[in-house]
Amino acid sequence: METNTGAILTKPALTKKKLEMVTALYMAGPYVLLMLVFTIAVFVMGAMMSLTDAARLDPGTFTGIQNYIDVISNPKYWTSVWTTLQYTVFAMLVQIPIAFVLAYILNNIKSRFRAVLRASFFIPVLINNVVIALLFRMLFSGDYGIINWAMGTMGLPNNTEWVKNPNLVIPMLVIVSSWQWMGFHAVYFLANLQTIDRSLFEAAKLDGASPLRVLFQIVFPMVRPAFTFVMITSAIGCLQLFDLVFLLFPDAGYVGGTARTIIAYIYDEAFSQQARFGYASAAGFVSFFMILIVSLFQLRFLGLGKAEE
Amino acid sequence: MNTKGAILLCALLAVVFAFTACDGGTDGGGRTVTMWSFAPNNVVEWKARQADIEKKFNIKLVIEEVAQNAFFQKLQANMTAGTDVPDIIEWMIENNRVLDANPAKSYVQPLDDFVKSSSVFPKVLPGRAAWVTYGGHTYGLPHDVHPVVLIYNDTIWKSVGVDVATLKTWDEFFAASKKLIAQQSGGKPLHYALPYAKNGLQSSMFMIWQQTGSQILDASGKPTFTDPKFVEFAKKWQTWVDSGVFTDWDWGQFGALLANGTLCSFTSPDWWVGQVDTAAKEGKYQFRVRALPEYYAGGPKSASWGGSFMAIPRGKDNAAFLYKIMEYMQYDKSSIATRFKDTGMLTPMSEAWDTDVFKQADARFGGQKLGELQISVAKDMPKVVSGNIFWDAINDYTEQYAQLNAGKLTVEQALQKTQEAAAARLK
Amino acid sequence: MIPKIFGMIILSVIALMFLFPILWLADSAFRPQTDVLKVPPILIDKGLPAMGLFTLDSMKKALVDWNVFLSFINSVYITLAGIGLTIIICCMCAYAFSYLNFPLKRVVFVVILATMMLPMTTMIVPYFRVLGTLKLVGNPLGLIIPYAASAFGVFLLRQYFVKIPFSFIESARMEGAHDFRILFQIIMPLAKPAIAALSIVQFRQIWNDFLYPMLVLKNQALFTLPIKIQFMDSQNLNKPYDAILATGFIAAIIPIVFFLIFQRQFIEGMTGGVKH
Repeated sequence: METNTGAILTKPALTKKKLEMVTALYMAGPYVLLMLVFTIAVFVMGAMMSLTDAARLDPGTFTGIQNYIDVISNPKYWTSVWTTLQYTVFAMLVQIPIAFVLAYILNNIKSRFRAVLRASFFIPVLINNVVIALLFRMLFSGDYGIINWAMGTMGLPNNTEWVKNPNLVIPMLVIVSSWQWMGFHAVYFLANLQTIDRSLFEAAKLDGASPLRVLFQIVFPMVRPAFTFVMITSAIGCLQLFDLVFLLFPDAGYVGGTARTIIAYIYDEAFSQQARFGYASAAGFVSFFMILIVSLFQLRFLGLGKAEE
Repeated sequence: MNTKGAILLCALLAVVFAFTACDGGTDGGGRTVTMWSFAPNNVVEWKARQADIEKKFNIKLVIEEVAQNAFFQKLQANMTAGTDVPDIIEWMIENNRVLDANPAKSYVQPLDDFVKSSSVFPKVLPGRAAWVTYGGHTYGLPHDVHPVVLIYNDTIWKSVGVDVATLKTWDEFFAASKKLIAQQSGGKPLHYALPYAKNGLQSSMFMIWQQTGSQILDASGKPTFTDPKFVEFAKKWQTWVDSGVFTDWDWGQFGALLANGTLCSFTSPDWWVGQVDTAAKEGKYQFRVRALPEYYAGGPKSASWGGSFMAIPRGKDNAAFLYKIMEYMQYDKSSIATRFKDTGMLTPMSEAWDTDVFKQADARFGGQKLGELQISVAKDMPKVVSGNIFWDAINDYTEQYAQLNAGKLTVEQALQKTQEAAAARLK
Repeated sequence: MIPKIFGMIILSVIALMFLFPILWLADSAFRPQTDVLKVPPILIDKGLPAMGLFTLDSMKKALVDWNVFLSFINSVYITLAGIGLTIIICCMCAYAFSYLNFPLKRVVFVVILATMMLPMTTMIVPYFRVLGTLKLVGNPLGLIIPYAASAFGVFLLRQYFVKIPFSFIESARMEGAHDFRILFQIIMPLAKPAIAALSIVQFRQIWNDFLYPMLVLKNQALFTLPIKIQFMDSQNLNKPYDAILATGFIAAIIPIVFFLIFQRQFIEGMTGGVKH
């Protein structure tokens, strides 16, 4: 009897497992295939190109790591790295704390009005970069912008060339990207703050804790995962800034090179007259690893944000 | 006929066939010829003449309009893939990126053989052809000549006591401009003498530079930004900028600024003259036109800016035939008058200008004959040495210029850095 | 503690600062070119009568003369197709990781998540070359297909799928349904909130995308709204400020309208947390 039931039980189980694997292949296959093509294949192609001096229409000859040496020894590249770093640090320093403060205040406001305010903060997130750059270029225009006009009526200097002055490039980028993303961070923090049980606050109040203590000992620990997530994602985003820079400063010199971010540098090298695809691919790889290392470092240092990841 | 005669006849026929095969003939056998154009203005003329062109060459002409900011990458992509490469491209002279002093690296073929045996091409202004001649090879046929003239608001200038028509040199002009900007409101001048976006060798600086006779590339294509003549010009230009007579060159606001009297003069190629239309129609101010003041005594009174050319992408083996089509489209006598009338553009051949359409009085300038003026200055248009890194080098200077204008660099330092950046591109 | 009213005032001022450029855009989109760039601004210069100077000419110029309507259709088409393909591919993948067992499951999942952190913008040059090899350049599919590879989508959907009681799937399997049917007929209807959230995230990204459409779409006839705006803005000869602003308004108002209607889903979706 054992043999009989044994024979019946083992066969279907085997087929079922194989069937599951095949189904998984069909189900997950398309996505995985796309992922392989648009990441792995891209890396392979990039690696191949970066080892040649491919430029314009010429597939180029094998040059080994010469491109990498050229990138690392090129001051223009490091200037772009420095520009991107400056922007990232300032943007994060401005956006994240202010977003948190906004969220904190918003958390204490009645629900109806809160929804209106929340919507107002969030709307800039929905606008595309071209329109944002256009708006800010026109509002901050040296001669015809409303900002300068308003400053003039208040007695402040009214002829600042906001989008043409090399000294103002980083501030302008920070202003524009803060306008665009601060609402998003604030709403994210708000969603997080709202998960904190009200009763904790009540208990703290009963204990006589000062608002500052409440902040530090209750709120901060609970929003720490959110902070980490926001910091990592905004760092990754800021380091790859291109659209705004390309659209806000359309003259080819990127305002004296001060607005040239890493991706802008890669784009320039790839699509200038020389169209050095091999070199630009190498610059891409160098940048890729640098940004990845920064992200991993953040992950390690700030601790894993979400429990899942 | 006898054997000898037959052989002679065959030889004669063979020679005739050889000739027609060599020069491509003018019969396309009904095949399709594709052309990419970035300039909607030009396409208007091509579409108007399309039937005529198709009949003359027995072809079907397909014209595809390609956006300016997609043109080069699209050409690059298609030529790399080897598919859908157009037979003819009509592309802009500035920042074109498709030419290369080395024919093996150029996106388009050198036309040297064809222009040498052409009876039409030698009549094209050398100053114009220079823009599409890299490393001694002619790569394209320029469409136009775009001579630059000075347009000015006579009413406002005269109101500050200056008759612009009497100024001889740019030095005199900028000295007189100081009177123009004397009237201020809220700390800013009400009137400006010229537009300039303070972005280096572009727009007004680019045009006036051509009159100085200095070059930024030498004949072998190497940058010469530190050449004493250019340095002197750059220094002089900066003193002009510092005197505060320039307002921004705002492409979108230009006409409005002329109409409300903020901008009182500008150096204009033929395709930009239309900016005075609104102002002229309103009639509040009187506008006049004149040749550019000289940079140095006896120097050229004009420059050129912008324009387009036609070329044949590399790899086309019926280039001789395509060349004939291009030459016909660009320079045939039938097009000259319509091109000027409809688009205000001049064909770059001086012998073509002896038509009435150029001699008409222009109401916008109180009856002055704009066409005649443009022709007379076009004739001695200065030649600019162009090359592989020309437009990128200009961008290098734009980059340094921002620092220069902010006071962080001296003119010499900015030019030195530009020179280094441009030279690095040649590696 | 700071009085609530004080906080409300500060926040309202800040909210107005956030909204001001949009309001200016909405105002300028309906003004003729000469009024748009007037200094001082026309509303302040002329006061309330300026409200009567609105015109639809700019809109008409944009939609008709500059063919913005076609770009609008392109944007709609690419966005809808992109969202659709994303949902299908990500749902299938999330299903596999939620309910099926196969070797290397954990590894592959971690790899998928890891791709969310990769700074792939640095790889635009080889990316573009790969697209060219696949003959996807100049083709809307060259945008739609890569959009569908959304790691965030897989992550979001899987989080939701695993919360669905496994008994549903078990009983369906016992009735002989195969997995594809289970996915489309049982799981997806149940996972509507997550799918909505993903759709919204994808909508915002695809509708507003600039760099990739700029590199991929080369024909004017294929331009999406952002590329069209940039094209009009780079016209030196005839820059139509009025049409540009009108088009910008169209491009901006669509997501805003959707947002105002589906506020909750938007925020839940974009903050990655779907509560139920």
